[in-house]
Parts: sequence; structure tokens; C-alpha cells
Amino acid sequence: MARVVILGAGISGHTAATILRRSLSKEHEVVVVTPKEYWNWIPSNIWVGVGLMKREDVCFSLKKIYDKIGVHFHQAKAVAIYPEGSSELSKPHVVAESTTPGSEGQTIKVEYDFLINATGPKLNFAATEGLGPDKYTYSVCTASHATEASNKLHEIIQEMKQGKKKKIIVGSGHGLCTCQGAAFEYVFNVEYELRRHKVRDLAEITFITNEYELGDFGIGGAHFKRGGYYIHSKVFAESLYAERGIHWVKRAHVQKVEPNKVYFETLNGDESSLEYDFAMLLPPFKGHEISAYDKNGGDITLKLFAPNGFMKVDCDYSNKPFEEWDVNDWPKTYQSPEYKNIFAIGIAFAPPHFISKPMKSKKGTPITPTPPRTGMPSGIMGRTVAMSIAEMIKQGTDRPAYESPFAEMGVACVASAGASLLNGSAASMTMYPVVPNFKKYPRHGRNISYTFGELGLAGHWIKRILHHMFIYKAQCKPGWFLIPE
Amino acid sequence: MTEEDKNLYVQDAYQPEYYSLTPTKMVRFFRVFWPWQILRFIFINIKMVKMIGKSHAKKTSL
Ligand SMILES: Cc1cc2nc3c(=O)[nH]c(=O)nc-3n(C[C@H](O)[C@H](O)[C@H](O)COP(=O)(O)OP(=O)(O)OC[C@H]3O[C@@H](n4cnc5c(N)ncnc54)[C@H](O)[C@@H]3O)c2cc1C
Repeated sequence: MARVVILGAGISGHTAATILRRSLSKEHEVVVVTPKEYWNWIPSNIWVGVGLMKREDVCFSLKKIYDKIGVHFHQAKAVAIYPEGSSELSKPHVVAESTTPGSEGQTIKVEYDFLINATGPKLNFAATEGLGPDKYTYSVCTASHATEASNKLHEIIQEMKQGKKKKIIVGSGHGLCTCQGAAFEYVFNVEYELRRHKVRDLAEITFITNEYELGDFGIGGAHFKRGGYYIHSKVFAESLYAERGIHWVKRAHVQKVEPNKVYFETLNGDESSLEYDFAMLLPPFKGHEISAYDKNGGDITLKLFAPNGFMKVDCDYSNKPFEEWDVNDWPKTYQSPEYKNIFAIGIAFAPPHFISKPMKSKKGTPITPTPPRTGMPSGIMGRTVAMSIAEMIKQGTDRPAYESPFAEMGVACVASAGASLLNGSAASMTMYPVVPNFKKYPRHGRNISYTFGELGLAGHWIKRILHHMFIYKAQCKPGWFLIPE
Repeated sequence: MTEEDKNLYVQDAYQPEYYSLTPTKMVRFFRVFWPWQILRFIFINIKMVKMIGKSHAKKTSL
């Protein structure tokens, strides 16, 4: 009998849990430890953030699903890993603090044969003074943050209906943010809602980003073949901002936020500020503070985790300059190099370096998007690691049977730019590979025949279908396993 | 003039927006023209399915 413990039930962890449960016979246990009782389809938080969906439309109870499929569920937050066991418990185990109502803070120990870290990002609002829903800005990173953002947005829409002008800022709240795609979607959905409420002319909207160019998205952007040219995503992104009358500030690091003012610095050393009535600024991400100890109680956190709190896997973490980066620096199996029964997937694994070129302002402030790990790659990593562990258990080996090299992974994503089945739109994009491979594709770093993007209503239909399809899949309804990640 | 057109109209020259590629009326029409979008829907789905197929797990080469 083997026990696989999965920390986190987001896109990657829940995928791994459901696939493991399906692949392993009942004598083996699959255990999920996660602090929240619900699963959230995060991409649709954008629509919660403008009031088109409610929290219930994007979240559902996990416990019921896990009871149905036979996964053990602990509503708790992992705080420490003992990969060699400890003086009290000889088997490898995780220490977690309960978040179950009624027993909050109680410590539990969960033994494992295999461990998957799928804890996603810690939203690091504290990195920027005044940032976040507890301070002065809004967020759409969780369903409850998005509900708060929507309430405030509708408050100012009501004021605009009385003729008041408003200033809106959307974007990155720090020079090292990732997930620019989410900010992109939110700004266009806000703009679309303002038009729908017939108050667009009273709003001045500004997008502030740490990207070197719009359309970089933390992956250096992408080239598309169009009209006889290879055109960078910058051109299409700028086009959409210009068309919708949204101003932009790029190459910016937000230094601090005050109740109605955002202060920022740009790569060229300028310092400036913007006033706002409503601001949705994404936080930078870091890993969750999980410590690790050897069997004697010695702290081995930095053996397992990078200093940013993300878990080290089969990457090349040597500190190479940009010119020497190689696609093979990126992971293939997501296995910890130190402990063969530990894996990290989704946002929880530590990237070997950035994808976009690292830049610093004249003052030395780093202003570069950190590498994104979007839904599709996160789901694929979940499936790959689940298949590997199932095979490792069956074969009794410590060699992962499957790989999904990050460098050979493509992405398909759909970024909403206005939600309506009749006249909405979304940018549909595919690119391959997500990490540019200039050795194989010397000119653009990517295979152009697999890299494309276009804006239109069809994209919105796809985004809407994906919303229903992925919630159906996550709820393990009949035939769920036929839906790919 | 639609609100969108007004937005385009009032932008000052020498602002970054002025130098951007902007869509013509025809491009904007086709973006929401159902018959065309149904075809694009099929095309985009094929592209995405190919991409998904290319990115999924394979047996290790270790
Ligand atoms: C607003 C927004 C919109 C997005 N839109 C898109 C999109 O359109 N398309 C796309 O592909 N991607 C999108 N993304 C990115 C996508 O949501 C992420 O790539 C994906 O959620 C990453 O999955 P994950 O499993 O790594 O992390 P998560 O989904 O964040 O899951 C992490 C899990 O770990 C749990 N956890 C946290 N701490 C602990 C702990 N200490 N112990 C145990 N468990 C813990 C959390 O509660 C959670 O259940 C969007 C992101 C945001 C914020």
C-alpha cells in the first residue's frame, strides 16, 4: 500500500489528485491537504471582478467530490516537510495546521510515500507599500477578492451615472509581477462594462505594467504571421489598447500606493505618479512559507526550496547570464533532485530563471515580468506527475516514467476582452514552445506554424465553453477524464 | 460616431496610441460577424487541439 499526499488543490494539484485516484487501485491512498474547502476556476474570477458572475459560479465544494471519488481530504495548510522523517515519526511526513472551522490551528502530521507540492503562489501584497485588498487597491486573484473588486467597480459606475468623472488603473503592482494576462483581461472587461453601462466617456483608464513592451506577458511576447509579415504581439496588444482608448505605462515598478495615488519608477529612471478612484493591481508571487527538516531536525529548507519559496525540481539553477540560457535549463519530470519521492507542479516549482530578459532601472530596481505558469501547463504537469507516480508505485522504481519538458510545452490560452455572447471578444492564442528556443527556431524562438493569435467573438465563445468544461471536469462528472488539460 | 470612434478621435498625436496599428471598420465588423466567427471558432479549436496534443506527457527518455 502506498500513500500519495498532494499539497494544494488548485488547477495542478486537483488534476494530479483526480488522475492518481483513477490510475491507482483502492489499496493505495490519495490524500489532499489544502487550506480551502472549495475549488476555484481562477480564470473566470475576471468575470466575477466585473460582476458578470458570482463566487458560486466559479467555486464548488471539494469535500463532496473527494468523498465521491475516494480521495482523503484534510482542510489544512502545510507548514513543514520532513522528507527523512523525524525523531517522533520515522516515515517521511508533512506537518500541517488545520483550517477546518472549529479546529483551526491544530497540528496534524500526514505520512507519505510520495509527495506533490502544488501549493501555487503566495500573493505577496506586502512587497509594495499600500498594495492589496487590505490596503488601498483591489485584486482578482481569488474569488472573494474579485467580489470586492466588483462591488467597488459598481459603486464608481453608479457615481459616473450621476455625471462624475473617474480614474481607473489596472495592472501590475510591482516590478516583478507575473500573470500580466489576467490584468490584460481585467482592464478590457472593465472597459467593456463601462461601455455597457454607457459611462465610458467619463472614465480615464490606464494600464500600468512591468512588461518591457505590451504583449510580453512574461514570455518575451510572440511573433505571429499576418498580412505577409511576422509581427510581434506588442503590435497587436498596443492596437487593442489604442482602439479601446486605454492609456498605458510600461516598464514600470509600483513603489507605493496611497489612498488615491500610485507612485512608480520606470526602467529609464523616471519617477512619477498616477491618481485613481479605482485600482486593481496584481501582487507579485512568491512561494508559501513551508520549511523542511532532516531527520535530526536540521533546517534543510534551502535544500528543497529556492530563496523565493518555490520548490526546486529538475532544473539547471546555476546562475547563468541571459545569453547562456538554454531550454534545457527547464524541468522535464518535476522531480526534486534531493528526494526522489517529492515533486512540485504548477506555480509551486521554482523556475530556473526568467523567460523575458531581466532588466534593472537606473536605480537598480529589477523591472521584469517573472515567468508565468498558466492553467494549461499547470494541468499538464499535474497529469504527468500523477502518471509518473502511479507507474513508480506499480514498478517500484524511483525513476519518473513520464515527462512533459517545460521547454517543449506549448500553450493555448484565451484572454477575454469583453464578455457577451453577441458582441464580446477574446484574444485566442497558441504558442509553441512557451520558452523560446533560439537554437531550434533561430529567428523568433518559436515554431511560427503553431504560434498564432486573433481577436474576435469566437474567442469569447471558447472562453465561455472552457469555463463550463473545466468546472465539469473538476467535479469529476461522467467522462471527465476525456477532457484534456 | 460610436464611443469607440470618439476614443480614437480624441487621442493626441505624439502619444503612443497615435503610432499604433488600429483596426479598420471592416476588421471590427468581422470580429463580431457570426457566420465568419463560426468558421473561426472551428479553426481556433483545431489549432488548440493540435497544441494540446503536442504538449502532453510522453514516456521519459531518461
Ligand atoms: C485572475 C487570474 C486569471 C487567470 N486567467 C487565466 C487564464 O485565462 N488562463 C490560464 O491558463 N491561466 C490563467 N491564470 C493562471 C492560472 O490560474 C494559474 O496558472 C493556475 O491557477 C496555477 O495552478 P496551481 O495549481 O499552480 O496554483 P493554484 O491554482 O493557485 O492552487 C494552489 C492551491 O494550493 C493551496 N495552498 C496554498 N498554500 C498551501 C499550503 N501551505 N498547504 C497546502 N495547500 C496550499 C491553495 O489553497 C490552492 O488550492 C489566471 C490567474 C489569475 C490570478
